[in-house]
Amino acid sequence: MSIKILVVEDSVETRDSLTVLLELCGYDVVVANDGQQGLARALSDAPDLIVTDVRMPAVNGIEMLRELRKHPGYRPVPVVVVTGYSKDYANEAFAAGADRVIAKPLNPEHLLRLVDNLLNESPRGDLTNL
Amino acid sequence: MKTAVDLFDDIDRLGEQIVVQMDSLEASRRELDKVIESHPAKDVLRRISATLDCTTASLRELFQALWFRTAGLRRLVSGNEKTT
Repeated sequence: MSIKILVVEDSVETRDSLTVLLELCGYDVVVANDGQQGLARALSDAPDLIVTDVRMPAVNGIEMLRELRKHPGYRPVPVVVVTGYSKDYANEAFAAGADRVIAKPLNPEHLLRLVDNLLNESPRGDLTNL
Repeated sequence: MKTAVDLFDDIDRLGEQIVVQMDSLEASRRELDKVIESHPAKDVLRRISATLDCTTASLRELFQALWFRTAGLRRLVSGNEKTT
């Protein structure tokens, strides 16, 4: 059974390149263009981990996390929040349920290690043997 | 002669240097923000600062996409192996 990662990102370039990278590493990737779509995808696709941007149209990444945590059908999974903006979103993001908050640009190898570690720490960590 | 691995390592090293420079740029802009309010031309300076913020964010986004693509290429070149 493969591991599914939800990427919520409004930048087409970043979303596409992150998707390709994660797929090359053996993960199944589902994508969403904004927080609203991310919310729907998180509930319908039951990902094992979520990587989300913060600043997005309609519903931002932090609002999406808040809504997700309130939803009765949501099974909590590790969440990595990634931001390219200067405003310090860390406290808000952690309060909303983020496991890690990181700034762009991030060394992709570091992100992949972080994803591996979070998946290994999660209850479904036995699925990380790709 | 450098190998593909060496070149990808170089890209990561250069990437880390770009991150440092972007952080430095951002820190300078924050410093600017601290003194803007007491400056007579604060309206103009606020606009400049906002533009700098937006441009820096765009650069971060574009460089992130470039770095992710390079990491994808690295995996393709190395035979699609999981290296993390």
